[in-house]
Amino acid sequence: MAKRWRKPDFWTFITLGIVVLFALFLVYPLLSLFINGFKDSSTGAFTLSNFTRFFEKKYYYQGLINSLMISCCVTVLAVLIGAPLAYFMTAYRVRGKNLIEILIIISMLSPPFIGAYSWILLSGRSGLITRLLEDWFGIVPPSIYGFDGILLVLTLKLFPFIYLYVSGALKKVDASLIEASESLGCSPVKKLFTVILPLVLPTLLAGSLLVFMNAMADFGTPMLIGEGFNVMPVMIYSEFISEVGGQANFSAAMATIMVIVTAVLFMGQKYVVTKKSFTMSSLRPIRPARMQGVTSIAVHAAIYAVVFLATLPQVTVIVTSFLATRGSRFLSSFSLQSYRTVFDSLWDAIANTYIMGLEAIALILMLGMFIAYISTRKKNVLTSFIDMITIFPYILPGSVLGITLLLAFNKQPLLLSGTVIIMIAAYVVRRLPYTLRSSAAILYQISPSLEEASISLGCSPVRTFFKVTAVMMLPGVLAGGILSWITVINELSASIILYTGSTKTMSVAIYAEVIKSSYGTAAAISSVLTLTTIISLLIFFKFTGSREVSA
Amino acid sequence: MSVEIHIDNVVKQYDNGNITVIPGLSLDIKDGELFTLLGPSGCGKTTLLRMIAGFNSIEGGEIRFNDEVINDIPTHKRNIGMVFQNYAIFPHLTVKQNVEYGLKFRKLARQERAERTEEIMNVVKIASYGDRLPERLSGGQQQRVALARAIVIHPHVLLMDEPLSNLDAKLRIEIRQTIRDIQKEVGITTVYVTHDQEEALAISDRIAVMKDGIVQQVGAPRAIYSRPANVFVSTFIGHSNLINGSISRRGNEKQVLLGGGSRVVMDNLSDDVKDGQPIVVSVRPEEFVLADSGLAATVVNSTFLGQYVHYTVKFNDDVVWGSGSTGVFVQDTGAEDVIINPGDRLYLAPKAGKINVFTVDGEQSLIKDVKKYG
Repeated sequence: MAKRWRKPDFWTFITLGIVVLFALFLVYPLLSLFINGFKDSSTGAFTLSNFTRFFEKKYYYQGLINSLMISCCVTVLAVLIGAPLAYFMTAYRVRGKNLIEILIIISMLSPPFIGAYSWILLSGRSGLITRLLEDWFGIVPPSIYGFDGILLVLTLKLFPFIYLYVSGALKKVDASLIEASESLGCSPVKKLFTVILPLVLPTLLAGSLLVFMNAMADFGTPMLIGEGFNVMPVMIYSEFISEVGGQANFSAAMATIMVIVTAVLFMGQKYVVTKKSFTMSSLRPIRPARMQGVTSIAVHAAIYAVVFLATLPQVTVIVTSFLATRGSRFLSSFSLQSYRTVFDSLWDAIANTYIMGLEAIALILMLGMFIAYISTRKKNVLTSFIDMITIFPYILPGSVLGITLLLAFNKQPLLLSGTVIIMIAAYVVRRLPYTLRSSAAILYQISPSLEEASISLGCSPVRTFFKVTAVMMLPGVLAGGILSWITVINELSASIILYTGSTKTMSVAIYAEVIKSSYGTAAAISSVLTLTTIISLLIFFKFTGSREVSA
Repeated sequence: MSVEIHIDNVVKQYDNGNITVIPGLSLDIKDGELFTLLGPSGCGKTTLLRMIAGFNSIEGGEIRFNDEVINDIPTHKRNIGMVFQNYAIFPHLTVKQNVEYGLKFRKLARQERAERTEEIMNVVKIASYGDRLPERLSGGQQQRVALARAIVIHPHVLLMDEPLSNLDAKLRIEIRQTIRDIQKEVGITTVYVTHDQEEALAISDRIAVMKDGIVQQVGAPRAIYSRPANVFVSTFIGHSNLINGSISRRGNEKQVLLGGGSRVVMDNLSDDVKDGQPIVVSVRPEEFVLADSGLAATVVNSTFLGQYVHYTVKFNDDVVWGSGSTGVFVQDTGAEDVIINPGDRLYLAPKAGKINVFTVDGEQSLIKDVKKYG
């Protein structure tokens, strides 16, 4: 029997529209990045010299080694801090648990480079702690710049991912599994390693990859605090910026190498996780037990210490933003001077961040819902193409995406460089996955028969999507959307490459002020940004009545 | 409004025609009747229902409501009411908003919309919790909401997909009766899908028994139970003991010979049967009587069920058709006083007017005028 030609409907057009968008803003730019990497910068001929240059000069390949090394160390430390923290917070009663969780989420969602900048303020060359130690005790503390500093800042910034992932998994462990192991004669310590750890291992692996990727892609932290310690994103950026008017072929080649490394890691993780994954659902979650005596004091002290260190950057930034300044130095009196400077000269950056952020988030929410819908309910060749494309943002570091878009859209007829469009494109591509994933997750929980019921009652399929499906998807969409929104307004690594005077954002402004050593103004904008983040979170918590952010 | 559903040689295929689920099926459903599609899971009954609803495409043949071919009419324009297995109540709308939902897509005055909503909510007895959200309703209440929502739009046909399978046994009987009563009252042509034969017998005007996408038999519940068209129907609906046998025919006198030399004189066998023809005899547990001769059996165990006593027995080798040698019979405690214990040996005689006889492959009944569908 001949195959019937299905009449194109609303979803056909949506699917085609999304394919075109992805082809234009992701596939085409990536292809031009790879092609540029294989071109000679002066002649434009095909060559491998960019790649051989990278692997021949120690200066360059050392950057890759450094990146891998720092990412490994950060991942290990984040697991060592985040996993036990999650375990103690779930299995035992901890005082101030709610506040601790909110502080952890806030420290996770604060602008990535604020950590680096605050630690410079605290223990940099003329930092608070440094001076304190020198003046009072005559001790010269170890330098915060370089490997150690990056490690400290990124670990404190990224352990919350492990914490959230693992505590999510622990909530799904049924108490009867643990009781079963105890009834079979398993000691408490053995129980931890033979039952609980294996149960959360797939989640722990997924969280570790996320941390690794983030550490690898982070640009702001090593740029501010790394000094001599070169890592890939910083090298890509500086090579790109220094090739004034050139074709940026060498940095395209470096970006290509980085994408290949992250892609391999991503695939490897996917393979391991799909092989090892199982589903858990808990009827009776673990009840937190009471701790006694010394153990209780020790555990509480450790938890509070970690959370204190994690929130210290935010506190530092907010406090210093109210200090009077002279040049790069803070005075000991309070003043609103920094804020005055910000609202006088950097108002554009604040407005830009909100306007472009809102435009981007509107697009992200819309695309997230549509893509989630077509890829779960309207499976076909095109939607599986879209599915495949949507993993790219996971493996594209921000600076690489920035270069990619700039190389693709810097000439007619696709001249977009310097426009708002290219900034928004970068935000949407980078931050769509959060919303997309949470939208798809909730859609799997909505029975298709609800849509069928609506259609059977006379509501057209398109109207049904908006009246029934979209309404029910909303909580899931927002859970990812809040993350997309916060990470959009905090975005630095792509913005720094794509911005021009008229599209400067808050995070770019903070970076520029820190480089200029105008620490006061930097602190004031950072506070505005941190405050926006906190208020967004609080509105979200209030609105949804939950504390579930889907990381 | 009266609606008949004509299903004319429809075909359902998946995977570009590589998998055929329904190879060409025809049915005529009469106006106002409650017509049940009954069969084991995977027999294509839900697939067929969803083709009538428009959720599944039709690869061949046509479906008509009266004279109108509906193959290419999209679901939302077919004017059907559908009740889903999981109720599919919109969780974000109140009970009343759920019931009212379908009326919004019909050109009705606000006044009439409110009246119809209220009326149907009274009929299905959900009026008192109109403002509640569905998550606070029990399964039975949700099912009533689903029914009200489907009926209030005055659909041409009502389609029900295993509507009772998520309810507990007691509620199932209660709601079953509600559905039956309301369906008769409204007089709406209804197609009902279930895999539960007891439910089908209780609720239907007519039943189509399906297997592998093919209709095996169509008929009233009683006819299907007492005169199944083949072995599949006789064992799928109710329990049947299948016994090896053969025909003994002298002119017009026909007898059925069973294992162990017992014989039953039959006056309702088809005229096509031949002397010596091997057959399968199907005897329901209640169609055995204790006798002095008949099939020899040893009682294996007995289960006392109040109204009945249920016995498992072991027949001699080669008596039972297919594999195994056990059988089942029941005794009505109201009619009999004989106490039987495990280990007892006894003789069971089939009731001549009740039992069914099939060709040895089990495909065709040899009772006069009982034909396989199609």
